[in-house]
Amino acid sequence: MGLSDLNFIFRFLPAFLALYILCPPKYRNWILFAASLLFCALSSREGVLVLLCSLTVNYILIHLMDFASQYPRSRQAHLSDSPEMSRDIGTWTAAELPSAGSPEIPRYFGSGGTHLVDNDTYTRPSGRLKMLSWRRTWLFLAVLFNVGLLLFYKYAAGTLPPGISFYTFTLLSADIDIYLCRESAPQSWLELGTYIAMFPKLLSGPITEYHASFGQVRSRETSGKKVEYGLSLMIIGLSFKVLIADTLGILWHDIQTVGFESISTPLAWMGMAAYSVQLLFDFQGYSLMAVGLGHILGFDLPQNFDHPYRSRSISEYYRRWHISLGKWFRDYLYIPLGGSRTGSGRTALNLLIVWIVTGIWHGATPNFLLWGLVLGTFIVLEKFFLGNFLSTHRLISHLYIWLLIPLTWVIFAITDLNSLEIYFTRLFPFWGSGIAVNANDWLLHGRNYLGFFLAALTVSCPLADSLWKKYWNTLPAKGVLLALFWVCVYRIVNGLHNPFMYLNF
Amino acid sequence: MKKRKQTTPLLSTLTVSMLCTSLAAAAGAHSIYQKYNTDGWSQPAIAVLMQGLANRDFPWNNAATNAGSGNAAIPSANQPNMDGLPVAIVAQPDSTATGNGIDSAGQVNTGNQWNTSVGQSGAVPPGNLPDGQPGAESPDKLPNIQSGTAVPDNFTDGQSGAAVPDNFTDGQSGAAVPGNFTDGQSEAVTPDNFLHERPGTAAPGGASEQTEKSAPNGSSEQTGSSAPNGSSEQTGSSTPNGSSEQTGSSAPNGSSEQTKNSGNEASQPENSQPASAASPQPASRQYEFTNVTQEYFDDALLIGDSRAEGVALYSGWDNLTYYAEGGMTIYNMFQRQVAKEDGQKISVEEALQKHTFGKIYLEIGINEMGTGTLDSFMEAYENAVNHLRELQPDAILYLCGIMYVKQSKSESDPIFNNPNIQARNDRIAQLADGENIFYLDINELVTDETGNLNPDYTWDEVHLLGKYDSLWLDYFCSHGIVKEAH
Repeated sequence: MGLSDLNFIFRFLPAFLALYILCPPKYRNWILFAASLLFCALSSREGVLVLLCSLTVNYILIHLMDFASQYPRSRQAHLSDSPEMSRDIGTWTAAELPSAGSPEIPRYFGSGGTHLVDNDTYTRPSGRLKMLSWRRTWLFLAVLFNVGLLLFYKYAAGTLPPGISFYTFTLLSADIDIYLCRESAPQSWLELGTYIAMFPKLLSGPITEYHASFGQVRSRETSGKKVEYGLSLMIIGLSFKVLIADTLGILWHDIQTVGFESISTPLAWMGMAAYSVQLLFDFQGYSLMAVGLGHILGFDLPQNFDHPYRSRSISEYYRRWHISLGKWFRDYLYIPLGGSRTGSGRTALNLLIVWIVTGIWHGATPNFLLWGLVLGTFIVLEKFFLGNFLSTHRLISHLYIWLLIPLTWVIFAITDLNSLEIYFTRLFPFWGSGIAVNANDWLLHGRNYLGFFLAALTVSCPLADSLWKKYWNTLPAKGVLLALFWVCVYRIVNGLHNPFMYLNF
Repeated sequence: MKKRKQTTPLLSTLTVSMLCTSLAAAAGAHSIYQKYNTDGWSQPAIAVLMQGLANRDFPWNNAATNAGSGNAAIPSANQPNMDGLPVAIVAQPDSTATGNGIDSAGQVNTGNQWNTSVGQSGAVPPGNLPDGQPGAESPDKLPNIQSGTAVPDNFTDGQSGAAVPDNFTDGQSGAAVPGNFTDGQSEAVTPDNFLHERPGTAAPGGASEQTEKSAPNGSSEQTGSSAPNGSSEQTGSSTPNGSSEQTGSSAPNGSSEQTKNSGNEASQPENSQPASAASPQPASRQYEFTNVTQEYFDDALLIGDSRAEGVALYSGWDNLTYYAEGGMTIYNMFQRQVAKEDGQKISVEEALQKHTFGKIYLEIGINEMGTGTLDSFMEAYENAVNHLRELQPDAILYLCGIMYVKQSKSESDPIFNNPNIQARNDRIAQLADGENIFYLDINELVTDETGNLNPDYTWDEVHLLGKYDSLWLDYFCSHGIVKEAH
């Protein structure tokens, strides 16, 4: 069950919200946790077991680490100086802050400023160095367990438990943050469980960083305005997913049905655009729903997308696309590897490592590895060669993104390398002519989907942003949102995925 | 609404609207929406309301139907889409035994539909009615029906439908007319002129549901001998609701109705032989398949669904005429506006009246799998074949068996699986007479050693990849019929 399921919208959510609102605040975590387990169980029963098992193991290891530090839990007490911890933590930020000139960094340090705790919160344990080795051991075990579990389910087991890629990363963030004493350990299994399994973000994120958002599990507030805003975001997200992404998904589906050999070159490009837009609106829509739901419950989940296609370089694109994952990799992989402070060669290597791991995280087939490699390569090129050129040539940099990014999404989309090759020969028909190609196919499809492409473009333009900011809380906007909601419901029922609609052949 | 002190207009309106629509849907699920797929507990009630909306089945249509006493008379076991329906919803007046409940269900259902529209026009102010449903029309309709000159097509709907699981489509067509809200219209149209006039009046997309049953029924009455037709209408004139359908059903299509009555898919193949035009003449001559070349298809027409559309788009042969479109069904094929004529699209019916073809290939049937039963499908199929023969008496008619699906789909899908397809193909094959009507089975060419659609030939498990669409034509070429007289 996902957030755009009818069962979720018409059964699960109303029942949950009624319970949640009616019950006293101190029991709300219980309700949220129980609801999250139910939510997970509705997708997969085995998945609940995996989730509970992972939670428990991590909870034990977290407390072993916490115990080993012999250290008061409150953050105010973190006031000591340990040279080792200083090397462990302090240097990460101290070294990275000056390197803010590199394209990846300044955005987070400059504007957001919340994902890494300020320097003065990087406090040291009280000098019990011998305990540190134990802490390391527990951390090592925690990382081993989480990564092992994820790799097992990604590569060895047949089915992937719901949300495992996302909650495993959130758990790793919790382990590392507690090891680094960035945030106090959860006081109870329930606290950790609520934080990790919270159903709005269980299936597709956003991935939260423990130090930045765990406090909300203990205390959070909501208000009428926040609820309204959350609902509005949910409806916008639902519309993105159902009205735009799912519809353009049909075009991509049709292209696969016909077979890549038989599509004309214009249709190949149209299909590439359709897939790219579908991916953006599907994921962005789902993330918006999660964030909106978070608002209703009093959480501030991080935004996951920030108009990626307005970027002017690939590295910027990935600071705007799936932001929470990018941040996670930056904070827990790139920077620990040394980031960009250890010389050009090492920086390039670090970037490539991050992108290869990102590729592998997305899937088990070779195309994801290729996808990560291509992106990593371009990001390295941008860092050392292209960056200046792109920043001074506005139009070229935009064209570069609009052309290159969809091409990389094709690599992402087509898991079979042979088919991928065929698709590229259709995109660039210099090496082959295709089989049984209908040269006018793109006209047939174009007629059907042009409106949806335009709609996607319209809601992505800056004007739409400013209109939204200005008017979202007005009655006419609420009327539009209400109408949109019902259009979405209609579409969910009568759309592509409804088993009743067998008339799609 | 319930949150804090601040006003939450969006939350409030959303909550209220969700509550109201869910209540309306739950209420309608007992009556007008019971024909839709509610899929048990796995979907909220709102789903049926939305399905209804798509077919213009509005909740207020139900205002006067009094809890749908008759509508729910469908034997739920026969309704593939309703298997999981909660007992409380389906079981209501399910007292009609499967055996004899059919006809009575037909009566009730039709009566109910009739009541619905009458009640509607009476109870609801005309301004609120869907267009095409002014209250003033209903008096017109009554005489029309009672005059005996016209059997309203929703009578036939009820007749053919109510007892058969298929009737959820019938119901759709009767109670709710997509596209143009033509309840009134459709009731006023006689079966005789229906096929000729409907294409003009029906909206291209939305009309499909409405027409899918009425067309075949209409044609069956047309093609059946005129005498029983007349009698049924007369009977119909005396009692607008009840006996007319009974008589109507027993007269022209008696055998197939009986087949339906049995409620079993596996029954009485001999009864399903086309009752009229398709039956071979005594002095018929039998022809054998031979190899033919591309020129053979210069005067050929391929009618069909998305699978035929694939042939049109990707076979590379353009000397054939194609009337093919995704979603075409045996129920709506004559009304689909897919024939290009001077840059405009006209319906298959009109196009067949304008042009003459030497060979007609009919490739259809996969979309209908989820609708109705084998018998109701075959009834429509026979009617369509008869109507094609009427429109194009000199054409050689090739009936293509439904192409199989891939093994993984066949084994996982309760509806779209190869045993179900084969059951329909067996019956389609019986329509062949060896003289004018021939059966072609593409599955000889596209299945693998497991007997399922070759996995290399398809991506979505149902359609051939574009590069394999020409296999259809290869098969046609090796299965041509050449008549000396032609």
